[in-house]
Amino acid sequence: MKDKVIDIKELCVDFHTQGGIVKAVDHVSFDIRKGEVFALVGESGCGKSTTAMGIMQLIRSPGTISGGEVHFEGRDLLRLSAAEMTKVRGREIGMIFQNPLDSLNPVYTIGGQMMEGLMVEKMDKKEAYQIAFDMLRDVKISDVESRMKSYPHEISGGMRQRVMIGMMLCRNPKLLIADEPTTALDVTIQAGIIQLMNELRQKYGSAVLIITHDFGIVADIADRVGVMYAGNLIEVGEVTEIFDHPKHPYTRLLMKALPTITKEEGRLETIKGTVPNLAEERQGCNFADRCPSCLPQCREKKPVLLEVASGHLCACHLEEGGSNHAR
Amino acid sequence: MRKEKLRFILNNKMFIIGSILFFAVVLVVIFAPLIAPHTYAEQSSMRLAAPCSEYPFGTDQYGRCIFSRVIYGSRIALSVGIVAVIIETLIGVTLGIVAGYYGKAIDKIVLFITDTTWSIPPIILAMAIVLMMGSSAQNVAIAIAVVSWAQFTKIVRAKVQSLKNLSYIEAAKIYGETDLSIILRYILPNLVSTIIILATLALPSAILSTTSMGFLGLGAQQPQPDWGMILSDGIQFIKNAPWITMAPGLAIVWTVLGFNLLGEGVKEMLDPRLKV
Amino acid sequence: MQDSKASAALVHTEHLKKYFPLRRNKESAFVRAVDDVSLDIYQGETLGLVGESGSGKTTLAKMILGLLQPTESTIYISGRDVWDKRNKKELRSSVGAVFQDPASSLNPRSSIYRSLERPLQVNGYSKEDARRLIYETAEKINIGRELLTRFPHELSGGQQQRVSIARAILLKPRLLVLDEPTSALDVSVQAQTLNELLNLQQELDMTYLFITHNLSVVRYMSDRICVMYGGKVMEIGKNADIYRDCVHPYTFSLLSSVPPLHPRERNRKKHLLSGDMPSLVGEIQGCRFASRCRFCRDICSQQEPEMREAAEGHFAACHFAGELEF
Repeated sequence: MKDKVIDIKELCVDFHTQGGIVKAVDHVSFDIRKGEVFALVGESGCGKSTTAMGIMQLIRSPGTISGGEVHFEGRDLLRLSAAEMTKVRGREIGMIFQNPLDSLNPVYTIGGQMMEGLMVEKMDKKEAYQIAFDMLRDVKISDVESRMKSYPHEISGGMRQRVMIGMMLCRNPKLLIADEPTTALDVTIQAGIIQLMNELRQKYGSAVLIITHDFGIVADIADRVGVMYAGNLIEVGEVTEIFDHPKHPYTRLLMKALPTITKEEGRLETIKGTVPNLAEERQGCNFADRCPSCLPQCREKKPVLLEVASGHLCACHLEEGGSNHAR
Repeated sequence: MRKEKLRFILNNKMFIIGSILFFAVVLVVIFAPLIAPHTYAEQSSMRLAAPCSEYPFGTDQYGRCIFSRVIYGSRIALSVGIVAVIIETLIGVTLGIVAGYYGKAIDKIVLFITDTTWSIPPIILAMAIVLMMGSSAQNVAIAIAVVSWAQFTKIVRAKVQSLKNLSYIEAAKIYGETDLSIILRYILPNLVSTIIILATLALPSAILSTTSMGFLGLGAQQPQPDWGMILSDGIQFIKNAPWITMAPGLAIVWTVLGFNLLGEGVKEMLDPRLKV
Repeated sequence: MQDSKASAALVHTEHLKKYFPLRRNKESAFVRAVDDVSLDIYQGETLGLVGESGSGKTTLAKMILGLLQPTESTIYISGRDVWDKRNKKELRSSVGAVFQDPASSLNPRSSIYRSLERPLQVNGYSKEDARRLIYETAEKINIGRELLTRFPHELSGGQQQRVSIARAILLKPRLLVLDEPTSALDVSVQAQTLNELLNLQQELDMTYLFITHNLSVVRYMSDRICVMYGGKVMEIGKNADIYRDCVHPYTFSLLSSVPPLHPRERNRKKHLLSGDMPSLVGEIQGCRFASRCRFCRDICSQQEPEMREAAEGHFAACHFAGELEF
């Protein structure tokens, strides 16, 4: 095994609602290797963001982490105290969100906020300024000097997201979690951010966990992909492998639902039915009701992630025949 | 939904206290003749008497029962307050909707009037109005309404501005709803909770204004038992007969506190995010 | 060429402008949200309107829908002036709209049935006719009857959006304006909604104006595509003209920004834009794209480019249209 930055094992997050316990994240296991970009992809409500929040221990009531381990730098994050976890956040694991305006303090300048984060670690002001300045130049902010003095509302959405990325990378985190970082932005701005992230990963070497609903972004930046459906991780593999040979019926259908053709060339594939109610106790595969090739055992036994090709895991009974167990 | 509201009410102590105070006032208003030992105008030979079993809060300089006058006074305070709030709601909400919905020049005119109204000290403006129209309970209600509708307008206007851009209202315009129909069918129903909150919060301050006007001698006239008037009459005897001022003072605090707590509770129940 | 087709044009605009005043009493301070747009939408086609936020596409749509009054010029639908009051009644049943946010598209206080009944009631349908038409339409777009008695918050985003579509087509409009109808939906629901829209178009012979920032969706849906930037049309042409043979540098940059379909295409030829869209306030000289265009020459910042025909029905507002190598 290559050296892992983070190893998530059987992570479970439950939400206690009036309708019952919703298993928002249900025994999710994956790892991210050094310098790698891992994309967690899925539709809304599949648990991809909740997984990230679970890793960061930012799950809010009525949600609880009900099991699992998150190994990071030789310790289990789920066993850390709140104070210890605060030190991990921002310093060792950075996080950027869909709307950077929510993460930036409106009453401080961009430069001030970046320097404050650095000065917490007993860095003097001059040094902090220099690092912040270089960082903003690295994230391709033009006219850095005057931008340092700008307030968050004075700059465009794309620039804010660049500032957020810079602010996170300033402290050299081992892992950067990006939750839908470009969803609120225009395509042209999105392309710039993705290109920037691609350049920076080479320079800074942070591993990245990117959470997205967009297969295009996955194709553009990810090294490995995890596909989630209804709280389960159903397929994991190298990005080209997943795009060339998607194994899970859900992944396949989802890719065919992407508008990649014209209407003259045919119709998009659709997935019948809707996501099951996760508050109900279920046997078998969560996708069974919508699956075009559902087998009898799919409704009885829950499939587990098995290796179907080298480094390619899939949780589907269709793929079980003849494949050997991973892990 | 109902269960949630019930749970909310039971968990909110301030709301419960407010409701108890409020319903006590309502009961007093309804059953005043049964509670009061005397009528409000009945004079006896005992002037400035100390509290006793016959006169729980003593008598004033004319020998009238303070307790009975305060009990009857609740009717004036409440009715003037409610009438004032109804008038200010009507003015404020109408102007707010018109300004918010039509925008442009109409909005600017309404905004100018609201700002102007707001910049005049309310009690002075109200005094001027009552002095012009003559001292009476109705005129006090009108004066209070005229000075305090502006807050309704400001808040309703802002709410309408955000409502009118919702897609379902644009869709309604496309399929041919008239402006009046959009206001009555789509905008007004969405304002109901805001209006209820604003009105319940406006009531205690209207009552307070009523008593202030009475204190200045501009409200209901003798022998009507206005709390403010009883208070101002009692001031001159405050050393010898403090109970005369105590009774209406307590009544005012009781009512205003009760209504304020109730208003806050209603606000939190209907819309926890709305800040007035 | 324009003249011969004008008869077949369902929507016709010439030099359409919308300026928003920025400050009071200052004549020069306007945001030129839509500036001099001449556009035809032909009967039965789908015209895709693409552009970044701030390009003026939604403002244009609102003017066509009669929700915003143009500053200059007007819109003709079937040869009738949208802003002539005499045509209001007739036109309101010939235009329908679906908006982006499914949650705010329906009155939260009305049942689904009531939301669908109201447009018919306003337009003089009897209760029985309305009921028949609602059931018929609901069936057409796969809204189960049990959904009709529910309230918007009890429906999923996809279902809410289908109700909005049903409401828009109830009056059998000839033009349906779709403003980002699937942007808020998941991929699988989006595919379903797009397919349904295509079926409806065939069945009811509707013309679509499809507004989106998603270039893959617009490619799937459109016959012709119009690219807007800074309140102006940059390029317009048939689907393939734009996707395969675009001649405007902005269109090329826009298409380069679309994420690849496969990781293998990561290093495809692309040119990404830097900087931001220029301010649309005040007098603008020359081409609006000049400040971000890598082919920019002297003439570009001095003289505004005319629409040039690159191929039949394929126009671009660029001084060097057809001469540039991307």
